[in-house]
Amino acid sequence: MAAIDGPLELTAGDEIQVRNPLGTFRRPTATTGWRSWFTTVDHKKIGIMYGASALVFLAIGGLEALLIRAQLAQPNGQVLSPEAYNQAFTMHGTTMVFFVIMPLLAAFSNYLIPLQIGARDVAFPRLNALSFWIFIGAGLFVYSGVLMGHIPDNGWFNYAPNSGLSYSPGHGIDFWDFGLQIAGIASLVGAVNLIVTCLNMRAPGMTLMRMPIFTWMALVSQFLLLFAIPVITVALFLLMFDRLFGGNFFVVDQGADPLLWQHMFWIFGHPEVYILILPAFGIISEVIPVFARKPLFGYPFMVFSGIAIGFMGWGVWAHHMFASGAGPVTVAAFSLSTMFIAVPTGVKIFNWIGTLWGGKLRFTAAMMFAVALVSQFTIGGLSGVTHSVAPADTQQTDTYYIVAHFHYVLFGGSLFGIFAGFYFYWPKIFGRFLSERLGKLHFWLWFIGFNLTFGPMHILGLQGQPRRTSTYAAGMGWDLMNLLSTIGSFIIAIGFLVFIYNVVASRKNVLDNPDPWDARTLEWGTASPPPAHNYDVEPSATHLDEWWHRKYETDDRGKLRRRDKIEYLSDPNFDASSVHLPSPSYWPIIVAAGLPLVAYGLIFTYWLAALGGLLVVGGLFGWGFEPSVDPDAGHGHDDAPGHAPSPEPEPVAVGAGAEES
Amino acid sequence: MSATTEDTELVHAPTAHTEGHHTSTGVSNEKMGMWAFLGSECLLFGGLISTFLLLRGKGVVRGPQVKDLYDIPFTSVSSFVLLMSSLTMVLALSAVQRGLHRRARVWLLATALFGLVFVSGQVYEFTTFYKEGLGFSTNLQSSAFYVLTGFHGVHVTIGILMLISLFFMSLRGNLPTEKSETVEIIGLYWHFVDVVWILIFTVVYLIQ
Amino acid sequence: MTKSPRLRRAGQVVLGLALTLIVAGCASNAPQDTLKPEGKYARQIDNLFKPVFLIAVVVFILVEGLVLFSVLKYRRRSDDLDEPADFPEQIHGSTKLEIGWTILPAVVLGLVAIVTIPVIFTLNSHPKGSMDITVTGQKYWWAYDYPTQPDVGITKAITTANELHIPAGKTVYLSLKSKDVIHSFWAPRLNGKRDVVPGRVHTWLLQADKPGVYSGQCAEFCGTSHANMRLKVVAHDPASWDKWVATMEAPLTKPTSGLAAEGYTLFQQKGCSGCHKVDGQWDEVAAGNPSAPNLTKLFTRDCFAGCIYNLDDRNELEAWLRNPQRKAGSLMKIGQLSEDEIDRLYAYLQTLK
Repeated sequence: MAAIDGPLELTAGDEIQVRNPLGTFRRPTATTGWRSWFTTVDHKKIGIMYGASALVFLAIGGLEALLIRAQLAQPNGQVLSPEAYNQAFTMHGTTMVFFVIMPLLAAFSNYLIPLQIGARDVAFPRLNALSFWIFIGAGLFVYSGVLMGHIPDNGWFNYAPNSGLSYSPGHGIDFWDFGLQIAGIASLVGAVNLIVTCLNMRAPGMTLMRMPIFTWMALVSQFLLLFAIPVITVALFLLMFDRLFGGNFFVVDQGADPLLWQHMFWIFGHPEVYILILPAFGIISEVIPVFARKPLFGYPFMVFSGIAIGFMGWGVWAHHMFASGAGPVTVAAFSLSTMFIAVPTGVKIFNWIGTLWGGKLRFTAAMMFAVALVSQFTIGGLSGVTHSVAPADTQQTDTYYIVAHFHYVLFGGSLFGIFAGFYFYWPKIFGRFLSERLGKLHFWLWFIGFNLTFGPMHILGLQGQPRRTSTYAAGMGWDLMNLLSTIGSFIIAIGFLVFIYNVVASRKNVLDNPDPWDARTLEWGTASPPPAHNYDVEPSATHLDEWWHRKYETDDRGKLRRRDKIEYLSDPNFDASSVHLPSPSYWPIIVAAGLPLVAYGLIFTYWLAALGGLLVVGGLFGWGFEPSVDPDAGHGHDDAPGHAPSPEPEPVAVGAGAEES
Repeated sequence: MSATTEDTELVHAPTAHTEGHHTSTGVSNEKMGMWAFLGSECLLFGGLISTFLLLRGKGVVRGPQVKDLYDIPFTSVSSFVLLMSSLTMVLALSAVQRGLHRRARVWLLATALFGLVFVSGQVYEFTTFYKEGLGFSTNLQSSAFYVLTGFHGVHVTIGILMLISLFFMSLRGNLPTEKSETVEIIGLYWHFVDVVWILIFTVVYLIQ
Repeated sequence: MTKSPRLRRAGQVVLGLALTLIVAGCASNAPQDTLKPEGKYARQIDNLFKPVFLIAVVVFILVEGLVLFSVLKYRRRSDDLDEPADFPEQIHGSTKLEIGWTILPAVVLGLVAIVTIPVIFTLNSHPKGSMDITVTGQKYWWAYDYPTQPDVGITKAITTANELHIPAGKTVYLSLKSKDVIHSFWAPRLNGKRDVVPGRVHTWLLQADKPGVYSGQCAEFCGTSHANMRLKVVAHDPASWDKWVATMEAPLTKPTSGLAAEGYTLFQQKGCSGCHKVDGQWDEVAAGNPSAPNLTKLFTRDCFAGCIYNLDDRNELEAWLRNPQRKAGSLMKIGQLSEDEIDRLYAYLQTLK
C-alpha cells in the first residue's frame, strides 16, 4: 500500500540537480502527438481521458444490463445461466458505479474546476495524472479478471459471508476486491488534489461564495470521497486478508458477525450515493440558468443545501439495513435521519424550479437533459421518502421497487445530468458542436426508454418481485412489466448509439464563437477549446457569474445591456512562452502500473507483487526527485501559435486581445 | 476565507505548482494536501480500531488470547521511544528553519532511528507472539490485532523512509532553509502516526 | 423552433402510457403483491405506506406540475430576439421562499415520522400468547422446526421444509437462523422481510387473517440459486390445523414389501440417509454433510427443492432424482440412478406421509 503516501509528493524546486534520477530515461517533453497523452499532466487532457474511458465502460456496463434484461424479459428465461446472471448483475453494478459514473464526474471535475476558478491547472498536476492512470489500471485489472474467467458474482455490495472463500472459491471476488482497492486509491488521490485546488488555486477575487455552483458541488463530493474511501478500503482490506491470508474477520464459524461488512460497506456506500449525484446537480445548476437567461435561483441556498446533504449523508447508512435485524431504536433513529435528508434535497428541486420560473427557456439538448433530471430525480427522491418509513421498507427493500428508486437517482439523475454536461460543454472542450437534432433524438430515446425500463419496476417491486433473482416463475403477475422494462432497455441502447454517432459526426460542426451559449461562468471567457495555459492572464473575479458580468452591465436606468467591448481571456496570438506550465512526466503511469501488478502478484504469484512493489516505490522516489516544472524545458514549448495539441482543433479565434484587468 | 488580494506576478509566476506562489488560503498546497490526506487516514485507522474493538471478546476461543500475551512494560518503552521521536522531529524542523543543517541532520537521523527502534520492537513482539502460538489465523482477535498494529507499523516504516530521504537531501545540500516546509509536512505525517499509536496503545493494550 | 404542440403531444403520450402501466399493473393478479395484505402486520405496514405514498403522489404532482408549467409557459418564443432588453427579470432568489420550502417539507416529514415510529416498535415486539417456530435458511431451501407447545396442539416437536404451516389468526413468533450465508425470510402478504443472518438469531412476526396459501421467497442474495429459494406459508382453519398436526405427529409405517421396501434399502445404499433424516427410520445423518431437508411426511407437502417443483407431478420428482443439478447450485449429490432404482426410491418416498 505504498501508494497511500501519494499526497506526500515533495515539491523539489529547481535547485535539485538530479535530471534523470534513476538514469533510465529522459524526461518526456512532447505535448503533442499520441504519445503525449501518456505523460500529460494537463488537467484538460486528463479530463478528456477520464470521459472517454468512462464512456467505453458505459458501453460495457450497458451490454451487461441488456443481458440482464434479456434474461428477465419472460418468466423462466433461458438466456443466461444463474451463474452467468449473477456475474452479469455484479459486473453491471460495479462497472456503473466505479468505472462509469465516478470517472465521468471526475472527467467534469478535472476539466472544469481549474477553469471555473480561474487557475492554470490543478494543485498537483502529476498526482492528477496518477489518479487517472490508477483508475484505468483498476478498470483494466477487473476486466482482465473477467477475460480470464475470474468473474465476481456476489453483487456490487458483496455481503459477507457469501464473499468468503468457503462460499466463493475461485478468484472472482479477489479481482473485485483488489480492483476496488486500486480504484479507491485513485479516488482518494483525486480528492486530495481537487480539494486543495478548490481551496487554494482560486483566482484573485474568486471567494468561496463566488465559486461556480458546479465547483461547489464537486468540492463537497470530493470531501465525501476523502472520508468515505478509507472506510471501504478497510472493509476490502479485511476481506482480502480473509481470502488470501487466512484471516477470520468475516468467518462466521470463528464467531465473526457478518453485519460488520454491511456497516462498513454502507458507511461508505451511502455517502457514495451523494458522491455520484452532487456533481451532476452542479452540472445542471450551470446549464439551467444559461438557458433560462436568469441567474441561479438562491445560489447560497444551493451551496448550503449541498453542504447539508454532505453532512447528513453520513448519518443515514443503516437505512440500507432496515431488514438486517438491527434493534428498533437503531431503526427508528435511521428512519428519522433518512426522512430529513429529503429536506435539503427538496430545497434544490425548488430552487431549480425557481430558476426556470419566469425565465425564457431555450430547449437545447443540454437543457432538456437538465430539466429531465429535475423531474426524474424528484421521482427517485419521493420513492426514497417511502423507503425511509422503515416498516414499509421491510416490504420494499431487495425488491425491484428499490431497483427503480436508485436508477431514478443514478440514471435519471446522475447520468442525465452528465449528458446535459456533455451537450453543454462539448463545444467548450472540443471546439465542436454536437448536433442538436441528434441530441434531441438521443434525449427522447433516453427519456422514453429510461422511464419505460424503470417506471414499471416500481410496480414489479410492490408486487413482490425480489431483485438479484436470475429468473421468476410464470403466474406471479410480473410478465408484462418485465417485458416492457426489457423493451425500454433496448431503446436506451439505441439512444446511446445515436450519441456515439453524434460524437463521430461532430467533427464537422466547428464553432464560430467560443461562447456559443452566451454562458455565465469564467471558463466560457477563454478560447474553446482552451489553450494549454487556460488563461493568458490570471483572471480576477468580482462577481458570482463573473463572465456574465464581463459581458453585461446595467445602465443608468437599471436596464440590462451588453457591454460595448468584451475582452476574452485568451488570445490565439498570445505569446505563451512566458508561461511556466507543469511538465509532462513518466512517473504517474509507472507508479500506476505497479498497483495492478501487486494485485496480480498477491492473487497468483508473489514475485509479480515484488515487481509491482518495486515499480511503485521506485516510481515514487523518481517522482519525488523530479521537479514539477522541468528546468531544461523551454518556456511555453507547447503554446506557440499553430502548435496546439493535434487531436484537438485549433483554438477558436477570439475577440480583442486580452489585457490585464 | 476570501482569496488573497496580493498581486501575483501576472505573466511569469502563476504556474500551477511553484513554491512561493500565493495560494488563496495562504497555506501551501502541499501542506493542505497533507492535512486532507491525514483527515482521510483518521477514517482508515478509525475503521481498523473500530473493527478491533467490535471483535474484542467475540469469537471462538482457540489458541492463546492476544490480551494474555501483551508485555506492557516492553511496549510502554517502545511507545515512549516513538513519542520521543516526535520531539526530535520538532527539533529537526526548528534546526532546518534556523539554517543549522548539521544539527538538523542529527535530529532527522535520530527521529528515523527512534522510529526504527519502535518498528524493531514490533517485529520482536510479533515473533514472540507467533512463537507463543498466536498466528494470524488463530482467532478473530489475532487477525484484528495483527492487521491494526501491522498497518500502523507500515505507516511508521514509510515515515522512516521519508526521513532518511530528507537526511540524504540535506547531506547533498538540497534541503535549504527555504524548503523547511518539506520537513514540516513530513513532520505532520510523523506526528500523526505517533498520535495514532498513542490511541492504539491505549485502547488495544491498556484498556482491557 | 415551435415546440409547443410536439412537446404537448409527447407529454400526453407519456402520461397515457404511464396510466396504462399503472392500471395494467394493479389489475393483474400477483400472489406476492405487497399492497394486498392478508395479515395484521402486513396491514399495519400497508396502512403506513399508502398514506405516505399518497403524500408522495401529491408532491409529485405539485413538482412535476410546476416543472411542466414552467416548460410550457416560459419557453422562449420564436419571435424573441434574445436581446438584453428582452431578458427575463434577473431574480437571484428569495429568502422567504427558501425558508418556506425548507420548513414545509420538514413539517410534513415530521408528521410521517410520528406515525412511523410506533409501527417500528410493534414489528419488533414479542406479543404474549404467540406461537413459536424456528426458521432455518440454507442454500437454497427453508427448514421449519416447531417446538412442543400444547396451546396450539403440538405435543411432539415437528420438523418440515419449504412450506410453513400456521394456524390462521394466530400470531406466530419466528426465530430466524442461518446455516450458511445471509438469507431473508419474506412472505409479502403476511409481513415485511427480515434477514436471516448466520451467527445471529433474528425474530419476526407472522399472522394470517384467513386460511390460505401465501407465497414468498428468499429476498437477500444468497448465491447461485437465490431465485429458486422460494417458500409457501399455509394458513389453516382450526380443524385442518389439528389434522395437519396430527398427521405430522403420527409415526411412519416402515414398508415391508414390494418396491417401497426395496426403495427403503436403496435410500441407504445410495447415501440418501447420509443427509436426509426420516424420523423413526433414518435418524442419524453423517457429520460434515450438507444439511438436507427432513423427509418425514414428505408427501404431505405440495412442493420441494426450495418450493420450485411440484410434488404432485411424479415427473418432477423423477427428473430431480435423475439430476438434482437441474436446480443450479443444488448441494444434493446422487450417483447415476437407473430408471428402476428411481421407481423404487419413488415408491419408498411415497410412503412418507
